[in-house]
Amino acid sequence: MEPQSHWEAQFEQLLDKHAPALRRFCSAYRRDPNDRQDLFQDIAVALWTALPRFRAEASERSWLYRIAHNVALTDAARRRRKRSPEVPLDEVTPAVQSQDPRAAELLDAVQRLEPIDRGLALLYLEGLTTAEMGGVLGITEGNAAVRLTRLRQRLATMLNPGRHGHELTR
Amino acid sequence: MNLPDDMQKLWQQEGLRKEDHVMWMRLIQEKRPGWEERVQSEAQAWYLVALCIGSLVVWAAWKARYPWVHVGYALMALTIALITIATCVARRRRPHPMERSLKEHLEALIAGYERYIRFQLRSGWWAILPLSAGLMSVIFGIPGNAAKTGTWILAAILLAGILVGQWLWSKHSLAPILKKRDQDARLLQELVGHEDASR
Repeated sequence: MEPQSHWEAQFEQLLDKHAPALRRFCSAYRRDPNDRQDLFQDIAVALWTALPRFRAEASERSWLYRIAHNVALTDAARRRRKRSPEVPLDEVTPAVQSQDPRAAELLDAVQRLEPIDRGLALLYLEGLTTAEMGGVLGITEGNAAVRLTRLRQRLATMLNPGRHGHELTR
Repeated sequence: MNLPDDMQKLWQQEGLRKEDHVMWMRLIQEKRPGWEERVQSEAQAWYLVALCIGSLVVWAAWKARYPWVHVGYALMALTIALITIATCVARRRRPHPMERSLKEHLEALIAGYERYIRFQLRSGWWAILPLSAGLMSVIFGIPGNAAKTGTWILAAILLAGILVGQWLWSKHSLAPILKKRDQDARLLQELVGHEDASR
């Protein structure tokens, strides 16, 4: 049994490494800043709860995205919002501020996708391999690759509506 | 933005900032009991009803003068206690681990919802039998009541009321679970349906 401080150190390390990606993830799933904050906190709580079960030989990134997707897409994130007044939440989870208008367009395009496609798009945008994507979603690598090809074309079309998707995605 | 890699670069440049660890640990400590409270609060309506009706039944049993009336009230009190214990046990199931794949997670959630729906339906309708038997024992346990037409009419109305009450209760308590199950089933279909289509 590891001491609490060990898990706290692990958790801090995990946050330092993956929080920016998780913030982007939450921005894609929730348009409302308050909902986004809630989702980020729900994911953080789920990560903290699951941390003692994490095995070092497993892929940390896949493990993290499995938890994030399960929280974002299923029951945990649908429950009623209830905030603790003692914690200044805005300090903890400020919204992602986009500096680049193209980044805002990309975020908008991702937000408009269906939930499963959105999940796949996020995994792709964060640079996961198709094998990792399949592992996170529970589908085969081949299926993830097929879906990703279609999705990239669709995203390119959404971002450049005047041109054909296949020209843009090569 | 001509290449997919451009999208990845563009996406990953957003959201860089330093995390406040102390604040995060505080938040987690405060948020965890909140989650457990919410899980329990879903069954609190029944606990309140059980407490009120149970107390009334025990008080009435205490005041009753006839043996069959005692038996009736005891049966009703026992049934209410058993339903409360069963609800408590069913609600205390630990949440599913979140680190499984989305497909496995959805399947486990749907299976859990199905189990709970079956439990609610079966336990509710089975509980009506001893409750109704107890009520009839109370009504007809009073000497002379069985011979009165009015008592039979009252008994029939009460039985109908119990049936309607159970139907409304199960409809009300199952509605949010059915909604969650349907949402997760749609999501699973979206995930698996594409897999079938790409074969």
